[in-house]
Amino acid sequence: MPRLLKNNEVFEDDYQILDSESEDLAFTGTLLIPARELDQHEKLLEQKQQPTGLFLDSDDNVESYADILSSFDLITINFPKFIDGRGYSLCRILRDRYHYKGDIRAVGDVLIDQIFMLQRCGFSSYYLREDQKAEDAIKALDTFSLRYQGSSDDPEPLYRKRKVS
Amino acid sequence: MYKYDEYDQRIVDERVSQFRDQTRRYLAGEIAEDDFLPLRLQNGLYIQRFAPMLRIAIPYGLLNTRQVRRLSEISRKYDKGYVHFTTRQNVQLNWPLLEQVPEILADLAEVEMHAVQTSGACIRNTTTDQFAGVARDEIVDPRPWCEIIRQWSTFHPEFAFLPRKFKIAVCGSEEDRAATMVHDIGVHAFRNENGNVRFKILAGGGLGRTPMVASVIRESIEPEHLLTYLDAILRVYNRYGRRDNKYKARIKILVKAMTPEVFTEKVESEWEQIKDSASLLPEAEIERVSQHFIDPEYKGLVDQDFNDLALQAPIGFHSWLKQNVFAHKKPGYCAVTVTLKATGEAPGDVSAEQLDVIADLADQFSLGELRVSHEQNLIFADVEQTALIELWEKLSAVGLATANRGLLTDMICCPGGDFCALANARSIPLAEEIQRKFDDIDFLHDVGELDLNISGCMNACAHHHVGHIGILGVDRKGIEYYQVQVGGSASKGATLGKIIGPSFKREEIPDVLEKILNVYIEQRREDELFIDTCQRIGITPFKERVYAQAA
Repeated sequence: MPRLLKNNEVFEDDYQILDSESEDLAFTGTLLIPARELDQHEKLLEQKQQPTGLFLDSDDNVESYADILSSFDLITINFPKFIDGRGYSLCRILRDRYHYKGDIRAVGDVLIDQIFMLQRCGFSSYYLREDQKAEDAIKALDTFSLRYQGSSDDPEPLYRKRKVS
Repeated sequence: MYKYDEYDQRIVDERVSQFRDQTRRYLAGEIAEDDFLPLRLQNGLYIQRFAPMLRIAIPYGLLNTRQVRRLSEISRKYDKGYVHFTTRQNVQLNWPLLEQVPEILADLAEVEMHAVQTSGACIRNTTTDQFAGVARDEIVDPRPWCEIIRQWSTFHPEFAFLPRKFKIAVCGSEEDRAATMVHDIGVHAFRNENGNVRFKILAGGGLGRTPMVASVIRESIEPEHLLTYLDAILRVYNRYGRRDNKYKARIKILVKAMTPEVFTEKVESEWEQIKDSASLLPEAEIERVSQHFIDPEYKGLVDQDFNDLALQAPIGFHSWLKQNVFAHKKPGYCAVTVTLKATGEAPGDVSAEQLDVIADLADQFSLGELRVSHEQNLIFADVEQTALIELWEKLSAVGLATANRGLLTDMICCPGGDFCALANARSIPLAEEIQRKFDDIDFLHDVGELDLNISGCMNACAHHHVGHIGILGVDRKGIEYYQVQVGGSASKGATLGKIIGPSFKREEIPDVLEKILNVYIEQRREDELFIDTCQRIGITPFKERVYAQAA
């Protein structure tokens, strides 16, 4: 069962990425609907009672979905590999440009040592890769107590906060 | 130079803790090899041919003597008693143990040093002119801007996993001594008609397999917008740069594929959306950082007559004075280059003993500071002209007064196949063979200014494309061969060298160079430099001489 880090806690949370072919009607966990196939799932979206989220891949053009973002409480951004850094920019655009207020969740190759930066770019929850230790992931949220740049977690750069002695 | 406050210090200290924890988890088997790789790279740690290599950052090439002494101590305590200065104004340890790296970082942090982002697909150490703040042709002191960019780029959360490495260089003088035209971003600081500081922004320059000269992206940007403009460029690159092929992943490929015009449009439209944010750089911050770079209290001195000075000095001083001493903006002062290119020493290498001497001399003669140049040399930037003879004598005593700055034997040379796992061929033995062949200092002075760059592979760490003569090591069925090109230049009017023909065996190269130099000597006009002759006559005369059949 996938583990989710959210609000400083790690707990089990099953999810499934819907694809156009197969649909497991018995599944009751979180359903993720790929943005590219959204039009195929409109009916499903209306009927489903379970939590659903929009699924963006790292090469998706987030600007194309600007109008529908607010109809989701959850947006997931995929990391096919953790070294694919496009998701960081996508998340910042969701937060800073579209002022998206819901939960933004990292999914895919999500590792402890990137969580601090993901959080800075506006991610609020994380499906951890299977082998990642829960307690280390929680600790990673506090890796640094100071940041030079402004970002989506805190727009004020250090240069607006320094007390000059 | 910039002095850390409690904030800067805390960030570096927390970085040491973070890497200590990562190393512990890696050694305990909790982080897989592939997952650890980018983490250690972002901390400058490579696993090389024989041992790990740790690259330590020297932000824009500035060091104080406390830091120099600490580097010397570290090289004795954790390594083999020497360090290697790189073409990015950084310094490398070639033999540290992975287990000890957290300790090395802790020792560095005590003197305001680190290894942050010295490798990996992230924003690297920002580089600039080694004569920043003292050059006569300086328009804007680039150092405060380099520090502002350093802080902005340090742990920038959005740009830790770019398609590929990303290098920024800043130039604030007439002559470009920072090779900005072949950087991912080149920043040219200038003053507008009202005397206000502005920046011209270039992007998409680079070397490697596909060398390219940067394109102008914006003619002028105000200081308060510098960082948001960089953010916009980086965001466009992060989103659209190629990730499917590492040889096509640098920003230069994106700028070329989109065309500079379309790339610029993308950047401008991104910037429009982010420019009015808390990231606007306040005047107070520019002022705060600039305070660290105000002129020291120079004495009211007068310029010395260098001919008189040379007459008082022993033999050997004159050529050093002519070649290694650089004009200073203040009368009676000068900047002195210590080339790390003595014959028999790997270019850029310095022993711990030499570092200690250099630190003592910098304290005695140059206000306790030192600079590193991308030519892998060290600079005393504030030397009183009346002290030159004494300084030269003390440098000579430790083998550091080679009078070859800017000459053929002051070559830029990567570590090559002796150390680097990527290399196709060795570069250090070739450098030494060239130095042995051309050991007549009078001949070198007659040939004059000449950039010779030797890279052991097409990653071009020694920038061979922009060497007046560039040599590239290639592997042909397991045998080291070397390709020769001429006519490159890293100046503001940057040009890429042209390959003269089929490659050579290593032992042939010194003779090939001799033929090239002979063509120049025969064809040059009066005071024409090698590069100017090259650009005037093209490569054909060189080609014909080098490949001529023996009659």
